[in-house]
Amino acid sequence: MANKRKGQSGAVRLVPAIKAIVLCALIGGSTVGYVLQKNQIFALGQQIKAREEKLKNLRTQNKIQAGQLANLQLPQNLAERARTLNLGLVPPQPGQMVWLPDPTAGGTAPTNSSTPRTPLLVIQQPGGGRANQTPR
Amino acid sequence: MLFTVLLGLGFLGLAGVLVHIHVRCHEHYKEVADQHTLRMFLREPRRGEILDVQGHPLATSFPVKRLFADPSLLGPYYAEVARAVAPLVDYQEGELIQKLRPTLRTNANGRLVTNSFVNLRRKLDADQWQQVTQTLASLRFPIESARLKRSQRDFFTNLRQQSFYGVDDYRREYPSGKLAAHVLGCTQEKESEVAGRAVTTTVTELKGIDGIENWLDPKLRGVRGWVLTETDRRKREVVMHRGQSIDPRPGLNVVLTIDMVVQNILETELAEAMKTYAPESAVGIITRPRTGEIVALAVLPNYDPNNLGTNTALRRNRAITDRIEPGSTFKIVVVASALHEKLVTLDDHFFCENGHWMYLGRPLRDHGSYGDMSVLAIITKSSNIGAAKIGLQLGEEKLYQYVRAFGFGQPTGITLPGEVGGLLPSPKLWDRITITRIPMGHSVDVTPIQMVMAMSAIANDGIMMKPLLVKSLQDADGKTVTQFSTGPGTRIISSQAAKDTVTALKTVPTREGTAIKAALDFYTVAGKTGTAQIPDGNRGYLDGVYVSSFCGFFPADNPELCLYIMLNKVDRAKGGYYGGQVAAPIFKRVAEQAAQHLKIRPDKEGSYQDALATSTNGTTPPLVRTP
Repeated sequence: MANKRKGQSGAVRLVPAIKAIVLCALIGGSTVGYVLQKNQIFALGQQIKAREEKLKNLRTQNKIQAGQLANLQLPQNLAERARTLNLGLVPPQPGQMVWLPDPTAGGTAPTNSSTPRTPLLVIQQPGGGRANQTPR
Repeated sequence: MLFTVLLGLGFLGLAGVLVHIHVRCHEHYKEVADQHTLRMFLREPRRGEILDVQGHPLATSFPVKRLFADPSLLGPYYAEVARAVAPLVDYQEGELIQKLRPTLRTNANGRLVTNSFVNLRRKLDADQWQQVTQTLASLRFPIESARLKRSQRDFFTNLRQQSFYGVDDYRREYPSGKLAAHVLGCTQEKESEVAGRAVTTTVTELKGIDGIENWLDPKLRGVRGWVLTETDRRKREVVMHRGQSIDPRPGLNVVLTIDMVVQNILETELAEAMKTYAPESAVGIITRPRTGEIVALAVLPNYDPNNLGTNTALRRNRAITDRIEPGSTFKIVVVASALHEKLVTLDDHFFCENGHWMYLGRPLRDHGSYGDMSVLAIITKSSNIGAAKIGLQLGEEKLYQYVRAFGFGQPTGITLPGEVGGLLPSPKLWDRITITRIPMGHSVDVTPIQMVMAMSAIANDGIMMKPLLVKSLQDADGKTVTQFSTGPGTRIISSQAAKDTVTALKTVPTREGTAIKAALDFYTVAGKTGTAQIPDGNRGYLDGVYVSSFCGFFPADNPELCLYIMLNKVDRAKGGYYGGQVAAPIFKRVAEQAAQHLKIRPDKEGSYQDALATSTNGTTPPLVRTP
């Protein structure tokens, strides 16, 4: 009787034990995996956030520097700088410009246009009157 | 058995409670949970820029930080923190101490809590913000020399890292200061509440209150974005629980027809005139007659939109809101109308009564004792009596119709707020001498913008254009979204009548005319002076003060620019008050510089040869090819 019980119990206990271990390993493994994944997602979220911040800062810097560049290029600022540095730069007089005929149209170049044009500066002429003296 | 039943009932009750909490009270507890974890971060849109025709910024938005403080994290050290931070954020030390002093209040649950939100309303640029964070990080308190408990260490860490925080915002800037202030207008901050799911946030937004900033506010403003997300205990965003993330849509950039350089020229010259003649105000407008584009619009005294100050009267755009009796510049209307109706020709003569005419018992005077004068000479010499007689020939109804057709008595439709239509009563309301007063620019109130548009119509071959101030709208990448134009315009007088009027106007800036000082070296000018007395309510006219003006265009036969210069309330005692004395020289100086900048082709023959001849060393002046 005792021998029979001993032999039976040994055979019966091993299988459930293995099952229990496998089940525990599955549950434990998936739990650990879940936590690891969650941690990874959180860490990636933090990285995304950090990169978003960096991108935002770069864009902000870009805007600030674009604004500073635009300010430096303001015509008044350029004129003021040319005056301060005494570069002798002055705009050309109408009499100092020559309008060449437009080769494509075969006529004179159009003069009435709101197309942006770059202001011209000419250097003070050496040894004589200034280029901006009004010819009469 | 009894134990089992009791246990079963217990579990059943517990299940009931759980069902109650999770099903029936779901919404309530969700709201409570959301309030603790959900956060809505607003993303402010960048307000669009206002650019001149060449793309130079006239108004722009710079990224800054709005500064907030959390007094609950400062504890008893608020004074030390305030002393360290105040100089960096342009606060008086005492004022900042007051603001940061923790105060107690009772919250919705009846518990005493310390205030945790102070809006310091300072827009800090990137450098200032960095200084603030560095200063806070380097703050050391005497107590820290001793060994601290963990809670104390946490307190000081929070104080350094979180007691001051910045929220992204923009500061509106006008890089050129006062330049074109009346065109650009200004903005003002307005607070409003934005309600989101479980979260309501107070925001401060910029609203245009004047000028283009006001007129195109909905286009400039952009659309706010937001992020609905959860934060952890340290107020860091938990990105994986981010619900909504909507990017802000920046406002559109507005490209004006204004040329910043020409605007600067105009304002500089008007400022000089303000010093010399000390008028109450000065207005200058420059248009392109063919398109109706406004190249420059200046009003003095002006203001700095970066710093509004308290004098709101300075913000009034006199070019579109002030009604004046224009004086003799208005003669162009009656003469052009009579020429169009073929009632007169330039060679027809009128007797100008030797400078003094009693009409219906009321005197009408001329500047000189003129006898017989042609219509052309009436314009050249600016004869009031001659103009009145042409007006009589035209008749009340027709005169009224033409004055209306030239755009008087109604707003021009310029895209600026506050424009008035002037005052042009119906002929039914005229007394019998009104018909002799309107032709010389009295008994009618006009705005400077109306006057320059009327002159532009004559320059433009008799076609009236609407003023165009906004050229296009661009998105943030500079791509044009909307292009504006004034359309073909409306013909108000025949081409021949316009040409004849121009012929007459060309005689004004000559030795025989009233405005020799408006003549240009390289361009033929057509224009008209105006010197008007100023009405004093119903008591007649003010003594000794005048509206002095000159309105003209050049090159006369191929007009590129039309300028109107007006000085209001010029004091006779200051040395000059006639339009030809005061306004014409300003016209000349502005026109010369504007023509240089815009490279307008001279129309006077031999100007280049003249330049060659006067070149001292015989070298050819620089050749410049225009596009």
